[in-house]
Amino acid sequence: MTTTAPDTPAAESPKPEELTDHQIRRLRLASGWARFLSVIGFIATGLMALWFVGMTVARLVRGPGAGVSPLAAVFAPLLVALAGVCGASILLWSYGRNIVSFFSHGEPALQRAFRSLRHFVKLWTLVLALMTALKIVAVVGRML
Amino acid sequence: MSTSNPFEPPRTTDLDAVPGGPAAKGALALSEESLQELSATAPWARWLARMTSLSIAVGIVGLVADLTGSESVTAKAANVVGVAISTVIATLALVVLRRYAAASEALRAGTRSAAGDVIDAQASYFRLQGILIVVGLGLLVGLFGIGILLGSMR
Repeated sequence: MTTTAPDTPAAESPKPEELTDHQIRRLRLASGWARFLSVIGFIATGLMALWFVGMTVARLVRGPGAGVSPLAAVFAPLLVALAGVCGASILLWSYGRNIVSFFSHGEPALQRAFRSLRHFVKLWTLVLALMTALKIVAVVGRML
Repeated sequence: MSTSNPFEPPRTTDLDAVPGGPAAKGALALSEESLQELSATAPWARWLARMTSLSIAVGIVGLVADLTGSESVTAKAANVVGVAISTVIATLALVVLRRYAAASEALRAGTRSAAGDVIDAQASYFRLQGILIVVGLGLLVGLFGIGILLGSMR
């Protein structure tokens, strides 16, 4: 099934790994779910942004000592989550769309899809690290 | 077939092969660049798995700290349920992430056949996350509906 240029020596460039029917089905599945997650992520980003604005306004109106939660407990995690979910949604959308593009136009769309996925994994690792660090700060604060 | 109906829903045939496109020609293959992108994800996937484990552990430590505090029984029960749900979700994701990390590390080590396992793990990860979100949203809507129902009965 794989097509190679007739003048390309096999020793110089390895033969492309042929996708099986199962792998094609799994890629389509991944693409569909990634786009679904991306849409949910965009909606969540909007809701979190509204919440963040609401909390900021409430803090400005009532003042810092009026029962609004401290920075490490609410504001910082929300900001990290907002930026993380927004970025992740963009990357997931790119991943899903590029897989679709790969099925209709071929490479380099799959390479772009996997690059988006790599950036998504990187971003999500950093977001999770920050969220965990903030959670540790909040837990230690409660225990002291 | 095209219609002049302006309310025609968007087509869902984007995923189908285009006539004459690569899928129709049977040319769907993983290029060397795509394999490199997949294997470059390996260290980050491993770190994501480690971070998920750490996050689960911190959640449990936080719960223990909350339980020893002076909060009300209702607040403590809500914390237990919240941490239990998030731990189950994170553990399910961790299982798939570890599979993904192992497959991409094998690919990075030169096992080209591991590419299939990486693709398989990607699909499992996104499907799991999607199903969890659908279930979560369903529960949220259900609880919201019950709340409205109870409120109207008072």
